[in-house]
Amino acid sequence: MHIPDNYLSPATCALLGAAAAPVLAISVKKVKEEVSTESMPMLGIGAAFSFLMMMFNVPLPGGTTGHAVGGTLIAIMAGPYSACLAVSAALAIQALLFGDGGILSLGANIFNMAFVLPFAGYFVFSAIKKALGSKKGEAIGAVCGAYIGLAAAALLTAIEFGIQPLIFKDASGLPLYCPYPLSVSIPAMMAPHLLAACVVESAFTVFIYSFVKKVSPGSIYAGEKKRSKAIYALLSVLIILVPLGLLAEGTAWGEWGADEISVTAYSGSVLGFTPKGMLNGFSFPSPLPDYAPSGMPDALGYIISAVFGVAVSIILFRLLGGFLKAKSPGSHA
Amino acid sequence: MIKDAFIDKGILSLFGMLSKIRAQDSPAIPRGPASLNINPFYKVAFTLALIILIALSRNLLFVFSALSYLLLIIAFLPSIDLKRTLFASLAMFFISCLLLAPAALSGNLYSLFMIPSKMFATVAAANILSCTTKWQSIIGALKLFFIPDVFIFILDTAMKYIVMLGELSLEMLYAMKLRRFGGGGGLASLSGVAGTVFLKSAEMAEEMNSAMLCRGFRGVYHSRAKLTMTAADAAYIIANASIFALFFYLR
Repeated sequence: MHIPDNYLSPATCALLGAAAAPVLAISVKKVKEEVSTESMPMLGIGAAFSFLMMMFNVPLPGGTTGHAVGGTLIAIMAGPYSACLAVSAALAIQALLFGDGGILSLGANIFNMAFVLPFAGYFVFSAIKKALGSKKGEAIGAVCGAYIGLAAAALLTAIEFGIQPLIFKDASGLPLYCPYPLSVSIPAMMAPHLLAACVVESAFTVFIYSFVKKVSPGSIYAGEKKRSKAIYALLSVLIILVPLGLLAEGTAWGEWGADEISVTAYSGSVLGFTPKGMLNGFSFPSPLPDYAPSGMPDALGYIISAVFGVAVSIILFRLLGGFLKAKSPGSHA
Repeated sequence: MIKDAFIDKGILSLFGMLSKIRAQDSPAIPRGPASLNINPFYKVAFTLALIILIALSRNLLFVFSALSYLLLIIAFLPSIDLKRTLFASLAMFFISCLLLAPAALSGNLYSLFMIPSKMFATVAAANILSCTTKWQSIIGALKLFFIPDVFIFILDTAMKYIVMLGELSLEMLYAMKLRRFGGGGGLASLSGVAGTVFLKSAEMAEEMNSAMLCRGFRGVYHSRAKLTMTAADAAYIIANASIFALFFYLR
């Protein structure tokens, strides 16, 4: 679901980036008001979880792959604004260091995965929890929230892909950017996501939520017992299991490289040409493309990339916590 | 006042240095989960080896792996150490990026990734060692590297006397600042301070020698260090050994 560069026109990227900017600004403001500086590192752990979950690629029907995002999970545990910041941080690290998702399209990716996903998921979760009562409602709400949140983000991504050939064409009528119209992109994105990726997202969300609730309730409810060690242990287990994400062969739908797209077969026929906007488009030389730099076994590269992403996420939010503490009134630091 | 600027600067830099040494020697160190009672010998040895391997490596992947490991440690340092380590390393990172900018502009992107990353990793490794280990224990650990006792003795006393003489010069600078009106001061007065400190240090050395003789010092200085192995040590060694193995694997 990470939209690479040159799949969306620069105009679309600018529009979605402009839409994502105020969302991020409001989230920073809300987090500053609502989240205590002590629980700021918790957000870093949320970002680390999200980063790791996005590395678990699952094979989807149709030869492509997909992954969970974990936005709803963080939204349930720390609030949707916190989730927005945490997932944005994870997406930025992926785009800048690992070339997963484009630089120009970072705004679009943040809009889909860091804004629409956690807010939709959280809305569904709280509505169901309210309707069904606390205990049972929480579990059902987490499942449905995660499912619908990811589905909403996938639908939005498909629409962004699908409107490209309608609006941006060259003189001969060939599409400049993403070549697939809405009639192709929506079923191609939605069917596998609804069948597999959303199920994985729900499973992850329920599993991790109930684990944290059981061993370290203080991480969710204020004043309860907090055991960060258990959470770090869970993070370590996820890091070690990350190479499982490599079992999924193939590229995610809509994330092919410029050399791949013309020969990729979809519904029986290959595209046969490379859109011009992709040939001469913007390309950012990320230091470690695809988490698995050449020259070392993919699994090892994957684990090291996971360690790196987790460390950077935690450092980022710990620094942010220190920064907010220094600025907040009434502190003597 | 401008005339005081020279003395003020001297006071500030002395004060900064002294407070750093004090913080280093405070009982709060070792602190944080990263330094769970790991024998300083292992820390010194492996940090040194890691820095050498990073410097030797021509493989971006190894540097990246070492960087990931170091960042993971940094992520769990106490806030104050986290900031210090990170900002020191980032400063070196950006300075070397700046130095390499001309090479990058003429097409050598490899160095632009490689050298700043190495800078970051080595500075981070040294900083992690210094903020998780007392200087006293680092000096003590040198014994296990077959460094002569005399040398350890010199380092040990130097460390203590830097603090004592630093305090002395700080007091003199304060005194000068309080008693001074109008002209004078500046470089000349500072050399006066330096001269007094030198005389005083000779005096203190003599006093210490006498004090040691009184307590039965026979001219031979023994330092003891024990090589123990706890669970934390073992975990630390395994983590480092796997990084070293990676170095040879990726060559």
